[in-house]
Amino acid sequence: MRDTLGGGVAVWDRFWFTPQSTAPLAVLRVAFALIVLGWTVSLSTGLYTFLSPHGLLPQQPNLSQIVYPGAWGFLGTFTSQGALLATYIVLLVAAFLLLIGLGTRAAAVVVFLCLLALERRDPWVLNSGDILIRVLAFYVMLAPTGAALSVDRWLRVRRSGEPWLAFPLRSGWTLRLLQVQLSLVYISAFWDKTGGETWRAGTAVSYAFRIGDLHRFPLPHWLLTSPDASTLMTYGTLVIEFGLGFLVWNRILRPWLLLLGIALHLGIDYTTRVGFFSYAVIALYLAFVPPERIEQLAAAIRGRLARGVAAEAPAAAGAPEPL
Amino acid sequence: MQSRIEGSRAGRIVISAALLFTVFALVVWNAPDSPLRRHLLVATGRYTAALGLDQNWAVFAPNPRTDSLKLIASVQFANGRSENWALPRGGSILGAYWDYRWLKWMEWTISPDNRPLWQATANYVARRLSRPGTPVSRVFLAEETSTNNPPGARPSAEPWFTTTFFHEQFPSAP
Repeated sequence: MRDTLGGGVAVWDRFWFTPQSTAPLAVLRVAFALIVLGWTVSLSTGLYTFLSPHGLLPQQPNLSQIVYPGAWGFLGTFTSQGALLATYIVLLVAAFLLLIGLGTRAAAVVVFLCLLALERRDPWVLNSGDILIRVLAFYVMLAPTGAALSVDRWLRVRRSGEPWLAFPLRSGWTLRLLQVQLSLVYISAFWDKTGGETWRAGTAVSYAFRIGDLHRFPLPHWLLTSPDASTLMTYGTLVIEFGLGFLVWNRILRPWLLLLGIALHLGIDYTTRVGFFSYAVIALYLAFVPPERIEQLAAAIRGRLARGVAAEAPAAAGAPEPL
Repeated sequence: MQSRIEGSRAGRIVISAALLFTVFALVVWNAPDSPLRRHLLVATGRYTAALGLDQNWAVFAPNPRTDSLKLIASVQFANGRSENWALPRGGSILGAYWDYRWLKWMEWTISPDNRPLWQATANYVARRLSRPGTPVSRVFLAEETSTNNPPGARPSAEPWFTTTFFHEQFPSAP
């Protein structure tokens, strides 16, 4: 009994706390910050319309009824247009600091609080992409995303002689949380679809692509209306979502599933007005990218930079003095 | 600081407890609706909502809409003039990254049990189109719908039809 318990604790410890390279987290932070910057800039067109006291919704709605008791956002307390504008500007600045990794932890906390406040202010304009951005903000806030590829790291290593382009090891629990979240997204999406008769009948994707108000770029008419193509795309979507939910934990299948997922989401982004949904999902995929791949890329960049410096040095030594 | 906490036994126990509860709360939130889920949600829902981890991945599920929708506001002014207002729509390249918010607003507004949003939309349109000396007197909200037929059927979609579902009269009306 004690052995079983001890074994369980060891498995738990290994899964959550084994030190992992911070490479995926650092790249995810950069991708996430770019998405938040894009999201925030795109909100400028509707900031006052959707969120101000003079817009569509003069007050923050009762979140206990619409979301769940416990939901909150500080724009429910600070209701003025000035507070809204300040939140918007602070979010822009914090997202930029998160991007470059300066004061990374504080920037991530501010990004999370501002996103939460803006999204809670008007839940009627949110799609799944907005929700995923908010959820990602929570994990990014907990993770050591500034440990690499950041100004914070440069400030730490500039006197020690350590290379800037390196990825220290940190406890892996935040990366694991992101991976579990990705799995949950697809298990939930798959399960919700299996209850729908159009998904079971193989017609769902054809209907989804023909929703006129969501239409973005065109697809050939035959592809949208062909029963065979629709069946293939519908069942293909279900297979990919099942795979990303359950089989993404398998090392051999993982790269193929992630590539299929990227293709699926770029297809959705091409055809449908889903805002930042596809990019947020693809950013979450970075939690599953093997650190070795990112580190190999970093090593190649470092090598190229070092060769460039070495090649320039003799030329500079023989160069005439500037006048 | 974080590394020190993660490195200590006590720190790992605290983090493990938080992880266990968080993952459990996420699983409960994402679970299919059932009496058990509703029961467990009482214990975990506040935590999930307070941390902003409430989520819904039912994209095009359980079924995608079979209807294409438009929300139109017909506006009458006090001087007898009338005008139509339609949802702002952006271009395909960049506009798709802001006008999806209007599309979500439309979906919620058109749903039959969302009367407060009908009122909010009518008020917004009236405020936006009113001019000094020519206030808005009435706003009618209408839904235009075209139902898509199953793939392979002809025609692929039914003709558009319009249903007015709400109207609001404003005090400036004669």
